[in-house]
Amino acid sequence: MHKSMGKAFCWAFQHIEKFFIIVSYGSMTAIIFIEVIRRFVFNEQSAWSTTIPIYLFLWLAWMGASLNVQKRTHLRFTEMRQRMSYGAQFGCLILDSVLWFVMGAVVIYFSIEQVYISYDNFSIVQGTDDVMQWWFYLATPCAWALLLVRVVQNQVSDYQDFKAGRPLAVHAATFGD
Amino acid sequence: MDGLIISLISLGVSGLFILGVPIFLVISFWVIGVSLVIDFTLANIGVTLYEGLNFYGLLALPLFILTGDLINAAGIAKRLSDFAYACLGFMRGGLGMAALGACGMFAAISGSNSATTATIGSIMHPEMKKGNYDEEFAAATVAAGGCVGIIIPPSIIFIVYGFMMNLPIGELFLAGMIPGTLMVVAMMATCWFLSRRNGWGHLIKFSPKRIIKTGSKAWLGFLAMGIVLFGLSTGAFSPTEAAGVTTGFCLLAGLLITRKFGLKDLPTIMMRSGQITGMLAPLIAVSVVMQQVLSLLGAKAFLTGVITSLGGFYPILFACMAIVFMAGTVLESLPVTVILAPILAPIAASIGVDPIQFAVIFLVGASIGFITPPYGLNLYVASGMTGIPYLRIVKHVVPYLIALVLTWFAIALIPGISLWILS
Repeated sequence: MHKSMGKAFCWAFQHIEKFFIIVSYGSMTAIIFIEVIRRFVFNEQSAWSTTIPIYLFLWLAWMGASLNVQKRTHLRFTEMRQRMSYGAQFGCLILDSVLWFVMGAVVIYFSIEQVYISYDNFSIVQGTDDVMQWWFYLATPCAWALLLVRVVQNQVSDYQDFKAGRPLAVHAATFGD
Repeated sequence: MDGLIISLISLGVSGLFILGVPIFLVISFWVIGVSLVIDFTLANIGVTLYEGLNFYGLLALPLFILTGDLINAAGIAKRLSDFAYACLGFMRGGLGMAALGACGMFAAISGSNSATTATIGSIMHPEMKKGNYDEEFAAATVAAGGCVGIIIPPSIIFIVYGFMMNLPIGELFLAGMIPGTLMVVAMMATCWFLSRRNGWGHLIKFSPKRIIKTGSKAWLGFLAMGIVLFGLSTGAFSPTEAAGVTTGFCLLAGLLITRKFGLKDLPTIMMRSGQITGMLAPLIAVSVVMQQVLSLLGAKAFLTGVITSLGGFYPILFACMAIVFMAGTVLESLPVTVILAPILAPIAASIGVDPIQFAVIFLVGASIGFITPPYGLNLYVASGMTGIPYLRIVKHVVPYLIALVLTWFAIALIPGISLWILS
């Protein structure tokens, strides 16, 4: 029982970005599409239909960034790295991880500040009565925390590959891999 | 002293780029380093990572990316490719030209360069290989064809440019139509010339019946193009709404008409689009911060001084184009636009270049950057898709690059190419 629950949790954790991306992408697209049709057919449109999608975009963008770290698909110039020695390639992968951590620390620290300001001011999404802005602003620190977890996971996997002498992940990955 | 440290930081991040560090991090570390040197608060990063994406027009970016994936999944892209081949297959190099034509048509529904290369490439590259074309040339053809993805409307990069420079996105879209078509024609002529010289490709008989048959099968693609064009030219809906409507249309077409995918396939399609969005949107946000830091450094005044000192209309215009071209060789088009457009557009305006025309000049230059080494995104996409080494594709893309640069100069020197449609 505990084992299967643990497995389910691990599976869910590995796919958490996908859940957020599908929910935010789907809702954003549906709101825009349905509201345009409503405007054409019924001559009416909700005031929040131009604001909520912008905030959903925040979740989509930053969870997408985390997914790209997990899949190692962020844009990069890979020609030099591919020609390096095995040890240097591993060094470059460590460098990537360190840089992600430094940037992550800066982003999480300062974006939490923004979330707090929004929370403290009871900022409400324009066009709504009770939808709080901080629910959406939370996207940046949450996604970046997850992104750093992916960095650690990748680094562990790189270390195992390095120890076993397997090829390292230094090639440019294509989208949808 | 600050200048020296900033130069060293710039040199250091260039080193990171060469070492293969993600471009997002390269730009971020330049921003962090320079902010610390000039005593500019890092809290700005926290704010701008929200504010940089807080624009309704920018939502067209994820929507047009999703549209591209839906067109592909619904089989509409394949039907458009078949139609293009039926029209052009009777000429030497017809299949290659059809791939370029299909890129143009795909670009008229989607708005992304790499999506155009990936989608049309996955359909046409195997066909070209079977059709007796050099496979490296075939990969270079789809990589080059993808360049029009961001010029023929709808276009993601036009949206970002309009957002940055406060220009009407609908007008920008319309202004990109003829230049985008001209780029396709120039590349087709190159493909025809090379195929004829090398004897590549098989010829098919010109058959109006086949054209009508494949054209009627591709009606969903034409309707999707019609929706975008109608909405934008009549002002019936904004670019974002046009993107939303086209996405909805392609979704319904795939689910109910072509039935190439079901509801259970939607998460996979959305994940693919989400991945591309998650790669481009953070780049936009961090490029906005870089642009702010550059402003504080007085980069705009410096660059304006250097360029305007050249004197005269043509030297200044060509200097602006050279800067865009050089930036495109090492950066993705989004950072190029976010960072350079606010600096170069006022310079161009000061010598009397129409802002809409300059937007087209700028973005055609940025789109050529997709196939310029060392960093050419479409070349990577084509390499990843076909398994052909990057540098071998680079060798074959040079003739297309020359054709595109010549077209670019024509667009820059003849304002009517961009502006006629608006008048």
